[in-house]
Amino acid sequence: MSAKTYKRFNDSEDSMAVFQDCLTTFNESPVNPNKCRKLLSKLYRLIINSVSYEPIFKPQEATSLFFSISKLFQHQDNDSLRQMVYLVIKELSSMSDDILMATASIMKDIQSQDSIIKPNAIRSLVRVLDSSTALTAERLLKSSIISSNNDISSAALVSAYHLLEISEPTSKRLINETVETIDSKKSNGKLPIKLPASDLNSEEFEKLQYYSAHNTHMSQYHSLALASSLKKNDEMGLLKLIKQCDPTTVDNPFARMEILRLCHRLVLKNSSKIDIILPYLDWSLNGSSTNNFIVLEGCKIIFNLKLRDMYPAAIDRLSYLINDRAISSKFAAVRLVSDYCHLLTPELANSIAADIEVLVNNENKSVSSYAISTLLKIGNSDNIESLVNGLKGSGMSDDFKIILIDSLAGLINRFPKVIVDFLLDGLKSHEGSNLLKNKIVDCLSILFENDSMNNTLDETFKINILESLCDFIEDCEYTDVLARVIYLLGEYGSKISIDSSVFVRHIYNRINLENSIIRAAAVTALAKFPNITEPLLKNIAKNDLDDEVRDRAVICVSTLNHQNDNLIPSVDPNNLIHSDRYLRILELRMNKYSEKNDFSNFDIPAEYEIDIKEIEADQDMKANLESNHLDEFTNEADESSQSADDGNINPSDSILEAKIRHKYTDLTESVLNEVTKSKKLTDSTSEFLISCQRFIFELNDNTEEILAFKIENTMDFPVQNIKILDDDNIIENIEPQEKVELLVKADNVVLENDKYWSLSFEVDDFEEIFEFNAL
Amino acid sequence: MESNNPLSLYTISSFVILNDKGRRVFNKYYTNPFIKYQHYEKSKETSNTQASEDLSLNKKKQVEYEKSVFKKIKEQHISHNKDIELLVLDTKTIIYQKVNDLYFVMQSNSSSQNTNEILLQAVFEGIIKSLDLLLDGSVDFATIIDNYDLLALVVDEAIDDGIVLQFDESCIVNRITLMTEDEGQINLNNIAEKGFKSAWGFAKNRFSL
Repeated sequence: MSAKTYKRFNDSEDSMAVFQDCLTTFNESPVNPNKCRKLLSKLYRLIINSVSYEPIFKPQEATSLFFSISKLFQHQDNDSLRQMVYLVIKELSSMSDDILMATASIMKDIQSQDSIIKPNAIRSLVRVLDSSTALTAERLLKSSIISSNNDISSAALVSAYHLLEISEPTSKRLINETVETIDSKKSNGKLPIKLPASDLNSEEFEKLQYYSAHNTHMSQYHSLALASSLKKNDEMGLLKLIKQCDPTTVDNPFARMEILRLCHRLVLKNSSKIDIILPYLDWSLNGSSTNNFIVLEGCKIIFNLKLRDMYPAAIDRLSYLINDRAISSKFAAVRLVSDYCHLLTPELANSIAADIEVLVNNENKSVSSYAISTLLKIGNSDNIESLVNGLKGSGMSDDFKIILIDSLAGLINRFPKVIVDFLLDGLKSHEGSNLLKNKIVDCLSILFENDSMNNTLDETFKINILESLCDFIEDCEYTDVLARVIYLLGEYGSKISIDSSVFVRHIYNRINLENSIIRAAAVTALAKFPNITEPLLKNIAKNDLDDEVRDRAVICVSTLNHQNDNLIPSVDPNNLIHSDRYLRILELRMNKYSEKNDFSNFDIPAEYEIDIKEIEADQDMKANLESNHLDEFTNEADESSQSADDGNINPSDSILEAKIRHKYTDLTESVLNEVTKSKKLTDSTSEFLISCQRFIFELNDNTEEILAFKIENTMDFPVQNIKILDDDNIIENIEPQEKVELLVKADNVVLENDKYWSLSFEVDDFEEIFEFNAL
Repeated sequence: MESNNPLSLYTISSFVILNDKGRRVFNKYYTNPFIKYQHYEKSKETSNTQASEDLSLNKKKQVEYEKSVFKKIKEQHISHNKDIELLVLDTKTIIYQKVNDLYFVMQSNSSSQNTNEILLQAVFEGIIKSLDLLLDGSVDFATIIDNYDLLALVVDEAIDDGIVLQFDESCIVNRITLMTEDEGQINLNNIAEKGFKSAWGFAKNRFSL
């Protein structure tokens, strides 16, 4: 151990001394178990509390430490020492290779009869295994799962669950034993010593009996979860599993919750299975001995599946949870109501509102903020004013305010006056994070946007708001907030019918005082007041230090000269997909243009013109860029492309469309009528990941449907000659982890009522078939 | 870890005890044990491993987390409050309780939409009650440090790398062995070290004999 590390730990625990102590004490003969356990707990504390990145012990030190600890295994029949040894071994297992050598000793303990340390030994065993040795644990785990002792069984089940990560086949071999265990009631670990009856009087003995009979049957929970994740792709198997879980035998509350979640998942996948969940929901809400967290889970599912008939019962139980003493019950219930109160009928909403009102003054900020936000969502006009007024000056934290402002955003058009007051207070206050201020500006934008369409606000009110914003920009420390407020002032200040010079003055002040980002925003805002600001802009165009600011000013001035307002189009958010595509094409052409070194003419592409070659070139360029990045970046890119897949707006649709048109030339004339969202047709664990999108083209009442498949090979070897159904399009080869696209004309292949489609492929010249769900 | 799968057994992502200055007294950050091991394997090959985003593998992030959670607790905590409290930090539900001069903090694994807070509280309570029983009601910094083995065993019997193993305090206590009282040879018939004494102590407590 270096002097540096020695010093670092000096203040809490002297690691060098502990290390030396361990070596000498563990090697003593005979061992003093009490002293060893004390030392082990010191060592444990040292290991877990270290904050340094370097390992606490150097490799040689760790090795000698490990060998001294393993000496303690020779010390039989001392559970209190052995339990602590296992704790330290588990901790060392993620920082040393030597630990594998303890495997034999651990296995010996598992085969022993001792019910106290057996669970500890089982749980330590999986931590010394790796994917190559995992199978050796199978027999031991199997016999432990079927043990009649709850703790031993649980330990084995949980260990098997951990093993899923590295060796699913090992866990799969345990499936029969696991399923058997679900509805069995196991005894708790028996008290390890036969009681000498003379030591206890009968009354004490009875109580002891009661105590040892106390049992939670946790193994039911662990076996159910393990079984359901082993069978996760097998719907029939899961249904059978649920049927096996009779509420009278499965009485562990965790297991019951797991059943509910399992049913919920099945129903989400296949809504015709709704019947399976109803009886369980019923006993979750009405069961006599039911636990609060099952009630909560039941209510969540009722709202999530929108089972309207059960709302009254759920609301009734939630109101009971809200009045529960435990903070988590209050919190969970009020948040659930807050999330789903838009589904409730006014009567139901009002009935729960009475309970929630009590929570407004709860000491816990998370609870009170959800309570207020819920009341705002379901509130009517009488109490909203008093609620919002009650909020002022109540010293709330930022997170709390952000939740509130989110619910106020929905109400601002109905109750503008009182809410705007509250918002402006929040904006002008010197406290408050960037996020909070941004949220407030969001809210005000909603108000103004709505007004510009419907014209509901009166002029003086708007002027008041804008003047407050003018005051606000005088001292605001957040650049992005400031820029957004300046935009609001320019956009809406220019539409006010009175003299708008006051806004111009405030915005122009920023030009002299602020950084270039704000100056650029201010220039664009100033351009909205052409009559007053033209000379100012000309001045800026000449004198500003920043390129962007000068450029903007130049463009603004030239626009004004041309009397053409359309040169700076405002961005229509609905058109963002197109503008994204357009910008990419523009960027591409600009790059080519600058490469050519011929600066004569640049032709700006027309708005919706796409050229397939350009897009492909664009993609190549991106791919090159990506491959140059470090691994992490590609990961990020993968994630972002995935999230784009999930979202509604998907610029890649247009690329695919272009590819389809390129491939099927007979579609040139047709109009793209509909594009469905990409749908996953396989589970995330299958050999191929397949998703599919429908593109429907139309020409003179003829529709043509193209299916665009994305196929990823998740196996670790390449496959050849891949085709979908009986289509003639064949992909010659897919490397592991490679993603390919396959375009197929739907008419060629699809039969109306198929439940499964198949994909055929060849591995080493053997043809194989892979089935997946039909679209 | 499959934190977005509501069926996953991995429920808890960390259990931490801080003292009244916010320094760590005890901490366990959970992830699948094999992920931890793979991380260790990787760290042997390359010297720079701190890029991991996973809280359980990145000690720097753990310290940051402890700081931010402590700050948040200080902000909202009312000093006399001895109940279990709850807060949401970075979309994760956190349950905490101030016990004498210690803060017990437990963090959920799934995002707060998938969390069953009441279940979390049940597990949290189980751990604290077990300690209370084993330490005879004096759960404080000095006692915890003296009985670190009991603390470590209780948490280990309640949570196995993020999976709830047991939540009932009597079952947890029943599994914990105590140290032998005499320093010399081990006595096979000494019931204390077999976990029985703890059971008996619990029975006495529960029925207030």
